[in-house]
Amino acid sequence: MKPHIRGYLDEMGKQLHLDPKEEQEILHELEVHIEDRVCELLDQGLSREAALQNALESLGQSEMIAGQLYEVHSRGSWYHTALATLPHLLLSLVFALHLWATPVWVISMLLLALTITVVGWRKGRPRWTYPWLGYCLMGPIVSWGLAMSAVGYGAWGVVANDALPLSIPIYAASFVYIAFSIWIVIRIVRKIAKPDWLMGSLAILPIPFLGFWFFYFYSGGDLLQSDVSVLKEVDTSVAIVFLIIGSATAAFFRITRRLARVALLAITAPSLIVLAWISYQGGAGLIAVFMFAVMSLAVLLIPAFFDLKNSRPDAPQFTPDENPEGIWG
Amino acid sequence: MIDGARDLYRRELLKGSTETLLLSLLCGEPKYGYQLVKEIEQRSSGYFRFKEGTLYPALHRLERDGMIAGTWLPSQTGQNRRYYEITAKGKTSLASMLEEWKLFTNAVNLVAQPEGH
Repeated sequence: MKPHIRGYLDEMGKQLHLDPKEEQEILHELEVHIEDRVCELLDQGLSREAALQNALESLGQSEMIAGQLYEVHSRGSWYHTALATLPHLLLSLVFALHLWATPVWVISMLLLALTITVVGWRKGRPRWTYPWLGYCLMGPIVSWGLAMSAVGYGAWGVVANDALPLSIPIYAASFVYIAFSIWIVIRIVRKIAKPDWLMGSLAILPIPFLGFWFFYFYSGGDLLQSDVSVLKEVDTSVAIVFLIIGSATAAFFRITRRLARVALLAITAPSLIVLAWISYQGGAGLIAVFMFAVMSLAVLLIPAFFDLKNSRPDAPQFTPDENPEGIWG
Repeated sequence: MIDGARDLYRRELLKGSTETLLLSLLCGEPKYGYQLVKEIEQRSSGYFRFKEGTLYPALHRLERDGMIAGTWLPSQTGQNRRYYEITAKGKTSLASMLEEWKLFTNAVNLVAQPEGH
């Protein structure tokens, strides 16, 4: 295969999983390096093709270099780690103090998450804003769930009583809203999956658990009751779950190995479901819990699916080398 | 010692010295990556040869840790390059590393070549 600078750099770019600005700077630095080497070899009398081949060989395997650069650049400082952990800790506090059923607290949390996300993204989308973004998605997801419930309720009314329980415009609006909220969530997830799908998965880490929490009480009919004291009985467990999510987020920011991050998320999400199930002492059956645990993994993989779709077309890869691990030749 | 084992030993020694060598190279004027590759080869008479691609993760790690600072500057050819220079923190760290290195090599020499042998 003919050596190709652009192909080599494109391949590396695909494996860096960093912000576009960081990625561009790294690739430019390497491109200049390759050009310097090629110029030197051309001066020594090599052909363009041989010089390029030699330059790329000297640089080493793109996958290995990209992995090392990812480890250096994706590690968050302690300050950024604290900022990323903060939304989970706040939510843990909200549940510990039984404030979640007070609308003003819920709305304040959502507005805080939205403000921090918007400000953060306008300032270059730092990694610590992703957990905040995850909670912003709760708005469209919950309202989507409610609209789905309205549609389901309507379908049940038609089957059971041969009549719609609510007016047709409400159903029409529900259908439009369902489509709109799905579109919003897909657009956001597609965007956050672009540089690094793992950050997208981190953002949505609490969603499977919140889904389980919602399902647990919804199936018991407790959410429909005006007295939410039954739900508040498990607030301590929920607060602990959010502390665990906060700890997992902190660990995610401090570890550098990509595979270790994948393992951390893959273990955390289903563990939270099982932990919640044990804490609630019953409710959902074993099969339902198993299904939720599997679904939580599937939800975390959604950003990976968008990342695959976002990938650029394959460029020819150039992978030389006999000793890929060491820094010294 | 057979060649393979000697090579392995040399690599192990070098692995622990990368930071010291890079900081030493950056003690003078700011330099860019390729310049560092050439200079280390030249100053060590060919003994030290970076695997070029892995130089950049090492440089970026030093930059992340505040030991060096990188800046994009136009070179003499007009091409924009990322120049690195050592920071005050890097200088302090280098001085400490070199001091330790001196103690270490002295100790190794004392053990390996005792006086009168």
